[in-house]
Amino acid sequence: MNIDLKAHSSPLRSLDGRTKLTALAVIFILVLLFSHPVYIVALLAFVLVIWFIARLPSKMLKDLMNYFWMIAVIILVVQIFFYPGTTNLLKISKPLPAIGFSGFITLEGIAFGIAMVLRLVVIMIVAPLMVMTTPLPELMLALVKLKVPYRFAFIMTTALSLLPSIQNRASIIQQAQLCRGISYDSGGNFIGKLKASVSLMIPLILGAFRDSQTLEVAMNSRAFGAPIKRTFLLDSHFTTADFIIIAVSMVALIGGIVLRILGFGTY
Amino acid sequence: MDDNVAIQCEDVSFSYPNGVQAIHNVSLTIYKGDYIAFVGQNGSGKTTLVKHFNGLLKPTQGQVLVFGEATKSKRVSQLSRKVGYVFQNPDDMLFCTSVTDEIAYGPRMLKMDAEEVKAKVESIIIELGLSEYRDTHPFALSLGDRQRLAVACALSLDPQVFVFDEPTTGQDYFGSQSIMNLIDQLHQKGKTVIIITHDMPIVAEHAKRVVVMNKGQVALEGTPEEVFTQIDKLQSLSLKAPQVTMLARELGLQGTTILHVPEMVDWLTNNYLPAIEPAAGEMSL
Repeated sequence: MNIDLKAHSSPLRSLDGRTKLTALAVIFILVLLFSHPVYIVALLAFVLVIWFIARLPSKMLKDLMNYFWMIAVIILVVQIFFYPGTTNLLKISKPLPAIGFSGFITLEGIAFGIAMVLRLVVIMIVAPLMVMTTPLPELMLALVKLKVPYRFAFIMTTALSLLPSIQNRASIIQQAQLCRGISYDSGGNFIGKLKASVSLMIPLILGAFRDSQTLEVAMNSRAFGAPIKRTFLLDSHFTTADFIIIAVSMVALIGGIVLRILGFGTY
Repeated sequence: MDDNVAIQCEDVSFSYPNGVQAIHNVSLTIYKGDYIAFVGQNGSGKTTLVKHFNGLLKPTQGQVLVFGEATKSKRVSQLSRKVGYVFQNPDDMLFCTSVTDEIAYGPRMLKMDAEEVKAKVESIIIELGLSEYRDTHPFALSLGDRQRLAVACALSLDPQVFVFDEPTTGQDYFGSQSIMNLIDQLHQKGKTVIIITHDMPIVAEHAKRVVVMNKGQVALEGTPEEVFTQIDKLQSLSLKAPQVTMLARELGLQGTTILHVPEMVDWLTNNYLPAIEPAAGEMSL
C-alpha cells in the first residue's frame, strides 16, 4: 500500500480543517457510544458514502482490509468465546470457569464480536478521510486554531508527513536486502520470516533516528520554539457548508447521546 | 544465444504502478567482462533500467535475459547469485552486529555449507582489507569502510556481474579512489561491472563502455572516447564531458582524444616538453 498524502481534490478538500476534525471526533464518539451491530453498520455505511464523495481510491480500502482481516478474525473469536452472553446458541465444551467461558457460544457474544470488528473498521477508514483530503499545513492551522499547542500540532503533522518517506525508505531497504539473498516471502516458516524482517527493521529504525536528529538540527537552526506569537501564512474561514456540517455533527452527537440514555443502541 | 553475453535487454519497457513510464523500448547487450557506466540526468531511467538486471524490477514489456534466462520467472534472491547489486547508501544494507556476521549473512541465507561460508568470509575480509574490523559493529565503521563492507556482502554470493549505484557519491577524493580501485580489481578478475554515476572523470578513467540515458531511452552509447567527443550532443542531454577533455578541445589539440589528466600530461610532455628546457630542479613531471 502506498501512503500518499497529496490532498485529493474533492468536495471535502475545500472544507475547513476544523470542520473535518469536528466531524471526525463526532464519528469517533458515536462509534464508541453504540455497541449494537446495526447501529455500527449504519455508521459504516455513512462513512463509506463519504469515502465515495471524497473520491479516495477504493484500492486503499482493499489494502487496509488485507492487513486487517486477521486481526478481525482474532477479535471475533475472542469476543464470541469470552463475552458473557445469556442466549445460548451452541454448546461446544464444558464450562471453563478458569477462563470465564460458559461452554456456550452466545448470541450476545457474536453480536458484540461483530460490533467490535466493525467499530475498528470505522475508526480505521475514517482517519484517511481527514488526512487525505487536507493538506498538512491546513491541518496544522486547524489544530492551532482549535487551541492545540503548536508543538503538539507540529509533532502530529510531522509524524504524518514522514510516513510516505519512511515507506519509501522501507521499500529501498527491502530491495537492498533482496539483493543480499534474503527473501521475504519464501522460507515459509514463521522464524524465517521474523529473521528476514530484522534485516528490514534495523536499517529502517536506525535511519529514522538519523533523520530525526537531522530534523532537530534543522529546526533549531530555524529557531523552533522561540518564545514569540506565531503568525500563519495560510488562513482559513468557515463557509456555509462548514456551518451546516458542524451543525449536523452536533445534532448527530446530541441525538446519539439521547438515544443511548434512552437505552437504544446496545445489544 | 551468444556465450559471451551476460545481460540482454530485448525491447524493454517499464511503467511504475502509478502509470509513469520510466523505460521506453530499450535494447542493450552487456557482455561478460564489460566495464560499463550508465550516465544521465536524474530521472533519466538509469537506476530503473539497472534494477531490471537482477530482477528487482520486471519489465512490463519485452524481456531481460541474465545469462540466457529471462528474469520474469526468477526471484531476486535467486538472481543475487549471478548479479550482485551494491546500493548507493550502505546503511540500507547493513544490519548485523559484526563485520564477519554481515558478510556471512547472505551465504547462510542461501544455505551454503558452514565451512565453505567461513572460508569465503575470511578470504573476502582479507581481499577487501577489512581484517582489523572482523568483530567491529558495522555502524562503527567509517562511510568508506561501510561501503567496502556492502561490496563484501555482494561479493559473498560470488556473482559474475556487479552493479554499483553511485559508488562514489558523498565520498572525498581518496574515498572515491579507494572504492574505484576496488571496482577495477573486480573487473580485472574477470567480473562484469556496471556502475551508475554522475562523475564523468570517473567514467572516463575507469569505464570501457558508456551508456547515456535520457527520458527512459538510450541516447548515446559507445566507448568513453566515442561518447565524450560528442560534446555538443552531451550538452543537449545536460551532461558535460570531463573538464580535461573540454580543455583539450578548446586548445584545439588535434588527432587525439584526451579523457583524463595523465593523458593530458603525456600529450604535453611528448609534444611540448622537449621544446621547454626546465630550469634546474624546478620542474619534474
